Amino acid sequence: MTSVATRPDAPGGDVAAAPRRRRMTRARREERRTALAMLSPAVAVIVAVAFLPVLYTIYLSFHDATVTRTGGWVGFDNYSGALRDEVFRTALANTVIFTVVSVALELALGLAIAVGINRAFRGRGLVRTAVLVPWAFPVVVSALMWRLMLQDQVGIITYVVQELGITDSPILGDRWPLMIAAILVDVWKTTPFMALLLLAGLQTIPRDVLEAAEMDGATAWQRFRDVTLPLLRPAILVAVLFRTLEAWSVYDLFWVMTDRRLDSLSTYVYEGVRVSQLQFATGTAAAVLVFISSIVIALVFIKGFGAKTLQEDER
Amino acid sequence: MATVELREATKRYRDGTVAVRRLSLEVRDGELMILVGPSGCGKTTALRMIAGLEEIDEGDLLIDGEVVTELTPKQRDIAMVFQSYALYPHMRVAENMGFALKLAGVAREEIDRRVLEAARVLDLEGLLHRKPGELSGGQRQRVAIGRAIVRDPRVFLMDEPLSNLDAKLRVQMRAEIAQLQRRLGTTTVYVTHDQTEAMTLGHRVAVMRDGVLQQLATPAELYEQHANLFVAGFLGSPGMNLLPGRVERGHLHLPIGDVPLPPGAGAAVGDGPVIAGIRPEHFEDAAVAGDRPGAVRIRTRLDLVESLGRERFAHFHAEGEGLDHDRLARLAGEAAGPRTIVARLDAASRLRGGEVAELTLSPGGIRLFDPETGERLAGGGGSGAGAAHAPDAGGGPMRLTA
Amino acid sequence: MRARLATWGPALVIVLVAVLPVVWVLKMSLIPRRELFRSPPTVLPDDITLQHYRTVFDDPAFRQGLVNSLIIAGATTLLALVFGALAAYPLARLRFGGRTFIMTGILALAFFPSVAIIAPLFVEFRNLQLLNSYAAVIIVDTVFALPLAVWILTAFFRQLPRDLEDAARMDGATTLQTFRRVIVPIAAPGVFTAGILTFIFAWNEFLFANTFLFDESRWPVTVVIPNFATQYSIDYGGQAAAAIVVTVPLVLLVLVFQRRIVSGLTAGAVKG
Repeated sequence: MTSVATRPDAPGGDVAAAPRRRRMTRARREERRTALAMLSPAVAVIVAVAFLPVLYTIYLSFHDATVTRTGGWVGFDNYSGALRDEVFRTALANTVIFTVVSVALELALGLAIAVGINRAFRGRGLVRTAVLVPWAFPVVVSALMWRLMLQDQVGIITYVVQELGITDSPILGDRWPLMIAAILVDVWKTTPFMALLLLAGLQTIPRDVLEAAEMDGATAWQRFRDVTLPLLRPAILVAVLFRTLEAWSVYDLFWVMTDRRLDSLSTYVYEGVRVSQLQFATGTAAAVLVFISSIVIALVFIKGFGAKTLQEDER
Repeated sequence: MATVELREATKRYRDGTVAVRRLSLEVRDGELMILVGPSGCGKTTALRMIAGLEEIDEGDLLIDGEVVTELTPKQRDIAMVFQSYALYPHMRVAENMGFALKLAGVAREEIDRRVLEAARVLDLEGLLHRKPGELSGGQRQRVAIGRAIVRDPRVFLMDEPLSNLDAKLRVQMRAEIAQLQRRLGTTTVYVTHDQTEAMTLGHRVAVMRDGVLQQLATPAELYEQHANLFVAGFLGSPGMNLLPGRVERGHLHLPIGDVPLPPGAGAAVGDGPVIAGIRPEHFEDAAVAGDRPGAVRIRTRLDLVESLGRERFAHFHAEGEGLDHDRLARLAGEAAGPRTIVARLDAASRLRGGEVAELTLSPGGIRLFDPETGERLAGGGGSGAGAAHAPDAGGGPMRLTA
Repeated sequence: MRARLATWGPALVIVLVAVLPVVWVLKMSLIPRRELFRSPPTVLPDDITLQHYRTVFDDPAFRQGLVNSLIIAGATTLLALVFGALAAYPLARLRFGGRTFIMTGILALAFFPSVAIIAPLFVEFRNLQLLNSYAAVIIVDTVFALPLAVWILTAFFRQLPRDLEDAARMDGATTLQTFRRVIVPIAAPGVFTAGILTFIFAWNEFLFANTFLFDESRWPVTVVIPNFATQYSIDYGGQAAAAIVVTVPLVLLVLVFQRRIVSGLTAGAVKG
């Protein structure tokens, strides 16, 4: 060790000049090793059960595959096969309509509920519990319950609709009534989730900002539009992204609710790869299309609307 | 039985800020060393570097002369008392205290014996089966100390252990910690922002600011012989009065009057601008003090007099220009500020606010500082002994700038 | 009076919309067949009968379905908590390279369309002879429960005071010992919350169970129910009773743990 006295440095002067010798101490190495060891089970199953299978799906989609063998290379034939398929095109249209309409309705209602709950009115706890009930139900059960209410012999909704003279035909028969019913069930079931996420966002908006706007003479609507909404933007984007992707891969609702009379992209894939195994190859191509379109939707939201990714809370 | 030595130890954070800069510090065997300074001065970081909770980016740590820079806390054999106590909320007191021994694989009976012994020392015997949530603040504090002493480690580290206690309990625990440390004789490093704690507990005190050691000295030395303006301003309550001044031919010209410097001292400093530091207790009511030899008399109008019972504080202000505040803030830190001069008067003083009063000032108590660097200038009593790094401390010709 | 309506009004509307369908189905499950088909329908039940519940519980597939659901959801919850907690702790606290990358990878899974992988998994499970076994569904459910579990647990671990971990390190604990003996016991409420949400997720899962299990004796209730509806296609009372039975545990969970569920669902979500 040297014994040369050092002069005190000028404040902040040597930050850049000093040698940047970052030590990797034993403790640090142990920490890193433990971290990776602790992560490995989760990462391993996720890679094995989710990420590798996706790659395998992509691989299969370029082959004349069946459940039992991979078959020969067929290029994009499976994709063109799916795209030419009338059923696929209907499923695509159904999924787009379902996603756009239900997410839009859920956002509007969810926002209204969140703002309502946030304005401390009576019965908040009751509301919170009540809205969790539909959220907690299995989709299958919600679908069954609503089907019972829409049933043409005993369904209360059918009875009311017919009494009011809106329609005479059974609701669970045609494409459009079925679609409307599916959207309503989805809205009923997932609006609570949307409302909760938005409420959490609303509660981070400081009250004094809104009070300041009020002092500035902003009306309630102006406060909502010019203060609340912009500040709520990140929460809205996360919630809408989440719901959009969920709606985009809708499966069980269509499967149970419509008794397989209404196709979504996911039910199309399922029909192909699981039910009628003759369409296995086309099904995998459709699966890849669902996957890629989901990524595109996520990217559009994240890049296009500037939604921050969820994990951005590094210290 | 251990010595602890930091050699040029530096801690940088990722964003490039330096928390501790080339800190060299030697704690003797059995010593109670205090690290003191305002918040953000790097004292806690320095403590955590000794503990092994923060890596030492440059420099080294030695315990008993052996380099332990890269060892884990476990391998260093050090115990620590945290500011928040950090008791495990799900374990009973006995389990809290015995946790380290259990991890080390000590036999059950041995753990029980040592926990009981420590509990006896700290008066915790009746609480061993409680959980931390069922204890008062003072009791938790004892458990935290107990958890450290049970291990009989080479070194104790204490991070503001008393700051969560109320004032009365703090005084009591302070005495107990001093007693305990003396009895056990374990080398201890103790961090606090409270100068009273620092001065009453420490065998030696290290004052830090912005990650840099300012002065390392015994409490008595520290109070009398500050290495620089920062230390001067930080210690004492109320703090030292800082006034602009000018030395000319053995005389110090101050806004409140002229003071002759002791023979020799003036020459040692040399002519030129200075900052003069005067402690409140170096003033006195002339009516009470009478004629002290060498004392200088000043006349001033008092703005306010506060009575604290045993003493009174008189506030007044000097005419003319004050100090450059930006510079003073840089040199003296939180001690700087636009404020009046404070004099401590005897309780017998009858002076009241608004009156024109006559005060005495003992020139021996005046400390002079370089207005550019803030370093202590020789003269005006004592040398800068113990100054950690003051260049040319302890005399020598000073640069004079106009 | 009007003021009271204004304060209670919004709450009332929301509660009615959320709960009324459930109450109506509950009523359907409790009235005899005759009344069920009456037109116009009765608002309040004239008669009450448990006959539909008898139908449901007399069905061996349904009873077995409840047991299977418990097994699958229980095992999934356990596995997801173990794997999730192990992964969440380093993500919340430890320093290592690639943290953001791994976190992104795990969370991206929450947006993953499940159908994209059923074909290869079906093939793989067939090769491994895991088709038609609980294990197949439990493994896949666990993987898809992980994003939520990791997300909630990471948020909870971050809130714990760092001093406790430092104290444990000073006491000589390794990182794993600190995790097991200090962090997990203290984070128990967070682990519990993650457990409830995982359980609800796994209890409600349909696609994977429907894909990988084709033996009636292995089906969880979510797969049994649509089948039950087909089998008893005109026994509407029975279907209503089945729906109610499946949701009872969920409604109880919601009623008892609503605060935890809300905090779990919104954990950290506001930071985005």
